[in-house]
Amino acid sequence: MTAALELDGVAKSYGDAPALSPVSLRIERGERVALIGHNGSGKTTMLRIAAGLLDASEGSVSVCGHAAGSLGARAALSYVADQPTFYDDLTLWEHLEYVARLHGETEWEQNAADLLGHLGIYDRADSMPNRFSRGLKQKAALAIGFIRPFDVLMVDEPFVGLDSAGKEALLEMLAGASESGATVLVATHELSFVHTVSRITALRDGRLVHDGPVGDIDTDRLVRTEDPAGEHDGERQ
Amino acid sequence: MVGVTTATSVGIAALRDMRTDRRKRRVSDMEWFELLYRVYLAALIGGFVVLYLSSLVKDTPFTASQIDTVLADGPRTVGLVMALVWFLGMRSGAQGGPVSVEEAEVRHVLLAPVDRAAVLRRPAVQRMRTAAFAGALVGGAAGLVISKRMPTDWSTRPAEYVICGAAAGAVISASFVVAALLVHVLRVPRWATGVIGAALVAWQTAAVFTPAHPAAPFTPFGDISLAIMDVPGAVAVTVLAVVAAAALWLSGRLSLEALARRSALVSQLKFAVTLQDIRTVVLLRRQLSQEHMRETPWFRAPAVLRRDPVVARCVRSLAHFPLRRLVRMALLVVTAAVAFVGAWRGTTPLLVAAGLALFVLGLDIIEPLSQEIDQPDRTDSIPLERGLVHARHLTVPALATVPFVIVGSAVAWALEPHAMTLVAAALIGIPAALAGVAGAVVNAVKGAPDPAGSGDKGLYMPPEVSGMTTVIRAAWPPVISVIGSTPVVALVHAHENGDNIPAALVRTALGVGIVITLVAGWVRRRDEIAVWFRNATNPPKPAGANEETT
Repeated sequence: MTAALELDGVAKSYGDAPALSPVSLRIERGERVALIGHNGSGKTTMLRIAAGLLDASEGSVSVCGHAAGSLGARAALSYVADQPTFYDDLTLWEHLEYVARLHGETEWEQNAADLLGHLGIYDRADSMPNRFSRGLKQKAALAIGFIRPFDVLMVDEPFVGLDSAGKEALLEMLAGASESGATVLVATHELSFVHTVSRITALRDGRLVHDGPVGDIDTDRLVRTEDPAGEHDGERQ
Repeated sequence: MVGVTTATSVGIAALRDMRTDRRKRRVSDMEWFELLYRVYLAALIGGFVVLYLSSLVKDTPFTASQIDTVLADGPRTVGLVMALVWFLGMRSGAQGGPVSVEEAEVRHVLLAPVDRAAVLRRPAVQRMRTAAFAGALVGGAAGLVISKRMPTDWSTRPAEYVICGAAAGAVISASFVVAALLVHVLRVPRWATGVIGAALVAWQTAAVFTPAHPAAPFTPFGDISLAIMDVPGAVAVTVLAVVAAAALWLSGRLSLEALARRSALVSQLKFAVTLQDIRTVVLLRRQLSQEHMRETPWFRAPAVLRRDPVVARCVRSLAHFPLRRLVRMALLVVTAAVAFVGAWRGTTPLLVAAGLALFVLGLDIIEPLSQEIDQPDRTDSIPLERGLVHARHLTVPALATVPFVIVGSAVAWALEPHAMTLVAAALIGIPAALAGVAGAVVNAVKGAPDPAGSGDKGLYMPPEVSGMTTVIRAAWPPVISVIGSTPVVALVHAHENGDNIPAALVRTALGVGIVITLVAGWVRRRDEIAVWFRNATNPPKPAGANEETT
């Protein structure tokens, strides 16, 4: 059976600056994985490559057997980015309708109402999400990510800006996605989520430093940045 | 939720419906009265500018031999312009241009299982259309300038030059988008675009400057500009149309990474253009073309220059300029030099082009000052007057113009190889380059915080006055730069009247020098001038005045 997500020697660099060293990773269908790492470790780069938003400098990515960015991969993968983005002239409800219909959904209204209700933003359905606060934007982006069908769900730092009710609702939605058979990959530092996953993948300085079951691993150690030594070499011109 | 994997494009109907709905909504939300008022103002100001500029062009008609030269060399030279435009288009394509879409469109539509070509073809066509329109305006104006120098009894009528100039301008300008699109969809590597583009420019340059005048690919497009209707011109336009159609057909292959990177920057860029914020436009253009400062400096600042912190800071900034920027600056100075020679040979309006090129050069050269103005809090934390800090940032950029003046002088000498050219180049080039810097400095410093706190005074003015004030504020810096190019007029007049050329040039250069000195003085004393002006126009009320009125 094809993997839900497979990265084969994927690397990314900007000029001479490497953002992601070659990473190989295979995530099976139905798995629930947490991707952790310190700031600048390459988590977002890896997710964006998998989503097809970035071109890999080396290697290849497949989503449910389709090359990343291809029509099949786009149909299978729902990606919720760390920075929510909305149209200036569409309400939240119109966003949901648009995205659902772009994915061929015709019976989307009830699902949309349920999602907004679950996230506690049903009364904001007719507002412009671009004017929302950070937390509300995050909830709106999650609703848009969930309104469409998917086999693989990738979410980047979804807990940032959410209140406790929002975090709880999101945890339930992620659990629901897993239960329905979707593969869930979440880049996060949120321990309440990390403790619910079956597998942790950790990046440091663009390299894969851990990939395995949660067990007794020290997640704090995995996200810590090592101090660069000997950077300052006295007087500089 | 699961089991959705498909390889068929869905959602095209949703895309079309949503685009139609949004367009209808935009039209219904439009303030028609305000729009008509803007059109009225634009027509008023634009009409005045066109009429004024037209009256400026009173150049002598071409002689018979000059007409022969124009008809023979014109198409090749216009072809060279197109080759340069094509080269720039290829570079734009290699850097991710020319299409940009909304950030939300990238996230929600281009990541959906929708045929990307269907999504991207329309913005690509829109980009081509806009470029063609802008090119038609420029080409039409160039045709107008040429028609003014053609004898009145010449077979081609002035209107034909304007129409053909507009057509050639539209084709040339649209070809920028075609080249960019083609390079982008074919994913041609950046180095290859450089090699191919340089080869095309070299080929066309050879056609212009070598005695053999070999046939070159862009010459037929130049025929159109001079109303020369021939088969090669028709074939060239047909080929370009086919290439454009192919590029549009393949637009689904545009890189999502490039689109995502450009989407946010382009919307900011449009906003900055709306506000006439040239500094922000410059910064965003650099980000769009991924032009970053060199980490390793070209040279180390000598110890003697490091004694003064401001001088050291300015020199270090220049030492980090990327090669691309230095090449662009050199090209700008070459453009200015060629324009000066063109003005000397009889096309006076080219001095405006020279002034504008030097203004853009100035925007790059004053980078250290602009950086300082970008960080007003840091400037205000220095225990020195802000004007003094800014004024001390002027010395190094002024001195940095020297190598560019030398390059410009060399170009002028290559085109007009006389001893007097070098004298004229020095006496025209130095004040012109410094005026370019002065215009850029005014543009940068007017963006600094207003010490008189009168930034909101435009709110209380009638629209005509506040609109005109905005236009003048935006136009004033380039005007200063253009003023710096006026010594070339003195050169032409002195030559025509048999006057002493160096003396005439020194006199006008001194006039430009006064303008430059005033700009430097304004930078140094801007805060005091602003406060004095506020007090003079709105004197403070005497103590107790408020009590009396209440």
